Amino acid sequence: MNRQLKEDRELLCGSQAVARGALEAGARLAVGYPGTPTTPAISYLIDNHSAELKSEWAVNEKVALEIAIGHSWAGQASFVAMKMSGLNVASDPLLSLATSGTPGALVILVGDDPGAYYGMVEQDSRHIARLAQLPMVEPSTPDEARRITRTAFEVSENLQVPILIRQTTTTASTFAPVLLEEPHRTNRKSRLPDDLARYTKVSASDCKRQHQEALDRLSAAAEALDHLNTLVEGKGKLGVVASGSTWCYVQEALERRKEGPLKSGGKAAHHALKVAVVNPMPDEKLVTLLKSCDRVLVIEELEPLIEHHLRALAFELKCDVEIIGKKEGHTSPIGDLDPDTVEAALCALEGTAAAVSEPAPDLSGYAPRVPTFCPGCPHRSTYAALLKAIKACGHDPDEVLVTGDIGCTILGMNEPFNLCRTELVMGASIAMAQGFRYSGIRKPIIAAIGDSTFYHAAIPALLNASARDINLTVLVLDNSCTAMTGFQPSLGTESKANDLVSVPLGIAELARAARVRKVRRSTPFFTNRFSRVLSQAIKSQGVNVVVAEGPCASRRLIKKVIPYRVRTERCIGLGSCDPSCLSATGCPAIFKSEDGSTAYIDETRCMGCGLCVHSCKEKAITRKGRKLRFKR
Amino acid sequence: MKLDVIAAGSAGQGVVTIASILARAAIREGFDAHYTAHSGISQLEGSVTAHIRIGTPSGASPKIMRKGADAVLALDLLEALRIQPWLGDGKIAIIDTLGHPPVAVRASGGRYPTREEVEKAYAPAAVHWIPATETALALGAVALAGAVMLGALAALVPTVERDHLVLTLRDHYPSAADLEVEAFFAGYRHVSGEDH
Repeated sequence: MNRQLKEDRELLCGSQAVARGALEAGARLAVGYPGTPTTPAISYLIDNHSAELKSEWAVNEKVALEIAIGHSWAGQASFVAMKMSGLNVASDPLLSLATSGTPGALVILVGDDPGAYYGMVEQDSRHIARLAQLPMVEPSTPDEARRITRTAFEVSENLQVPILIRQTTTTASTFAPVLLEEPHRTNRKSRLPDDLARYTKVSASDCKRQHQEALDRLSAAAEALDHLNTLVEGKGKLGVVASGSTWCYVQEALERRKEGPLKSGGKAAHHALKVAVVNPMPDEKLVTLLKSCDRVLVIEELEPLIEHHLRALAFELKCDVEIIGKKEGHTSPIGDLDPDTVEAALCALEGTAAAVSEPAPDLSGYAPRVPTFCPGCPHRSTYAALLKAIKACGHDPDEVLVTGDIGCTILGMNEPFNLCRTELVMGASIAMAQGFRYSGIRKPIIAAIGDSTFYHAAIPALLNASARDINLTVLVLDNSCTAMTGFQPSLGTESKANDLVSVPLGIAELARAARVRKVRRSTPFFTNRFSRVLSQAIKSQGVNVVVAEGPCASRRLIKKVIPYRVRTERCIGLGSCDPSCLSATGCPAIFKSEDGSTAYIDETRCMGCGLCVHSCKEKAITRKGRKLRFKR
Repeated sequence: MKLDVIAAGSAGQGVVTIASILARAAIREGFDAHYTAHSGISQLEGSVTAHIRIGTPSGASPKIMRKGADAVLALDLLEALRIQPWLGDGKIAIIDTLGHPPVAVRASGGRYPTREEVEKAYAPAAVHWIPATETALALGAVALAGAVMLGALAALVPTVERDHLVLTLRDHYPSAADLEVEAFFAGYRHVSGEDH
């Protein structure tokens, strides 16, 4: 795939580069749970698996981290990757791990998402590093990410301290040529942990000593990692501090001012400090910067952590330095930053006027681009059947509560279904439904959840609801993979890849073991039958589980499709039909014909699910002819 | 020598693939190149933007400044409007004639930009309209639209040589290489008018 690149270079994205660094540093285990923007890290290692490096997806991030802790406490180097929400799930073992330390290297990659490109909370995970009292490094470019990861493994091994690597969406999803070096090979024998005072947390005196040791390790790591922070000398009395992707914008802005590349030794337009170690902060370099400047601009995404630290340092040193940043409104704590914002902030630092950009075209009058299910998606058929079942039970869909969950399944909130009303965290739909029931809601409550999300965090909630015999329908949309992040296997997927044999687990088995009142399994593509199954569940007492089993249509497992077509002599046109095949299904494969008089199904997009057939009252959709299309 | 390109479209149209092929072709030719694209969400209809930076050096910033792009490629008319502020003065806009109207537009008659509205937003820059989706559908797969757009880019902006783009396309899609290359040259011919 990368034949065009020089042999020792590969075009990798930021998170793949971190994974490459882990591979080169000699990690023996890589484990994580998919979550954008860090999914490519573990995917890269699974694709490059070897006898020395075992890579796999775990059921959730807490389990992933605990597997890695066990592996590292046996003295072996481990790597874990997750997104910020995952680090919250794993924060319990993380905080305990921090006080015990680790005899084998342990490096944890976390991806933050300023700008919320992939949904969820705009969380600043640097706070978690501070909370856990663990060192955290933040690379700016893919090649730097690889080098920093190698250093992190080295320091982690030498100082017995777990190290966090933070990336943001921009640094994680930037692809650039990365130098490839030979992996470092270790062949160490695993050993049993034999120090109760270090690996258990019963006695208060041990806990307090562990706390002190954690702080000692943190300051030792700060010293060992300090060379990653770069201080560039400038000409005047102005200074800039930046980290992560914002350092790249600052670098380019300074190059524009110098009209040439920033070279070590040469002087830049302003003093500049790249903070690569975001916890603990590089005090010495920050003080050096403060002492050589009159005004310092701090540029960072999300929370003003560096800014607050710098203000505290300046106050402590009684430095008469003006510090400007988020407090003055030069950058926003919301969303990601871009080179234009950074340029404007630098102009404010210099006291010059920034170029005024022309207003962007106004898009508010146009129909918004709302993510929707792919053609042939089993979830579309499931929600269509659910809508039908709610009506068949004599309820108004506007009065029925459907709690949604993370993943593709939440798209049931959009047109044309408008069903899901809430989305909190992985697996929350079931326990929240129980809470809504306790609040006195009498109408049916349905918790809609995907298979991977169900395994991830919903099982305890199901046990709880089942034990209390709550009136609740749990609809599990089982497409046998973690689809939204790129079709990673879930526990329900049979896989023999990478010599990791996994026995597929059934959701129905688990639900029966939870002793719910009744478990029903059906395929949503037979929409009428499936809606009858759902109606029965909705009418029944206690917890009823319905598993909608249909494979993900985008996973390219489907090799042959018989597309549907519209019989133009029967179709009365999208405009005169209500609901039409398009407005009832929202399928992206349905269009208006060129003259606008009839509907038209694009054969290259149709996946042959047949949902549109059920929604056409004129019976104008068929697949007569059995014309096979082979997918590539 | 530098070439900053912004590509945009709706998810599933192949914007990330366009970015990847353009960057790899540039590296193959000896340029430095990097690109930033938001990938990972696999549902249809969401908007996708990629910033591709090529040159020696290609620049430190992963994102292109407003008015900094030498060319914008849009596979969709609404996305074309969204990325308009990035096009530099006197630079090139390459936009697909059909685009990919959101389902809401088709189902409930929401508004979708017309070609005239797009041209007005881009004025005084001239818009090169490329029948990419149309050509791709005629060739049998809507996924070929990206290759048509790359062909048009190669004809309009010769910074990255045509042959490197063709070879990279072949590498990227070994199983459908001939079709991809056919789509590429359909786009190339649409602009240059000449046969290859």
